[in-house]
Amino acid sequence: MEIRFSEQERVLMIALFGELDHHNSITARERIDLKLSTGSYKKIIYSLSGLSFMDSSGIGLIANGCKTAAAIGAVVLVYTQNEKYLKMFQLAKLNELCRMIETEKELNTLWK
Amino acid sequence: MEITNEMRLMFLSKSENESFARVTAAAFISQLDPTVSELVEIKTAVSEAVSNAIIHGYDGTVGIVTLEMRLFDTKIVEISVTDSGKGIADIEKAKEPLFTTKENEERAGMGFTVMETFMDQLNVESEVGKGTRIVMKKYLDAEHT
Repeated sequence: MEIRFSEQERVLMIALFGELDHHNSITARERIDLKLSTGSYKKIIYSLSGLSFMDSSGIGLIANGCKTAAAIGAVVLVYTQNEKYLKMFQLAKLNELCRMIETEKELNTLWK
Repeated sequence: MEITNEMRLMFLSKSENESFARVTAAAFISQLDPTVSELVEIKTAVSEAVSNAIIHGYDGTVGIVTLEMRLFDTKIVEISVTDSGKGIADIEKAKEPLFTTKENEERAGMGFTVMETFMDQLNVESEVGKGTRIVMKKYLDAEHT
């Protein structure tokens, strides 16, 4: 899988591409943790629209990101329109840790 | 209810094989002409079961994971994932959402919850020191009949 980071005005976009499973989540988590530890962010947006597969490892990855973000005082937003991913996030009550963005319109208000 | 086709795949408990297992499962099931939604749910459930066998069953050691699939004439698919790893002491506890024995790792303790949600039946047999067998069933066409 591939991770692309981009930044604007202390907002960090983490765009994930390819397949996110347990195998891939190990290195993804390390790379994201390293990135979060080096910057001063107020918002972190995970974009999942480039993923072709995600299992519950995605929940673990984002929940971990929320913990790291809370430690640096940042809020986490997750952008996806995939109903299966949203279902898994809902089961894990991930919406208590971060905000779900389900439309491109909403994403565009946060990211120019 | 008659079996129309079946397969068995054995592979090492390496995390690289998680994608191999789910892609193989999806390819085998395509003969039943599943919907995209059904296919995604099956791939996800297989990924969860195989990951559990690798992470928890073998826990860093190398062993064999067996994926078996049986297709029935009634458009039912039965999938089992078996390991000869350390087993689960308390299955009910393991199935609870957010329960995990690996707090600081990548997984969220949602594997069984996802399998239960995406499949129509889930049965877990396990013996400590012997291994675990997960049997899942899905009724294809269930959501549009």
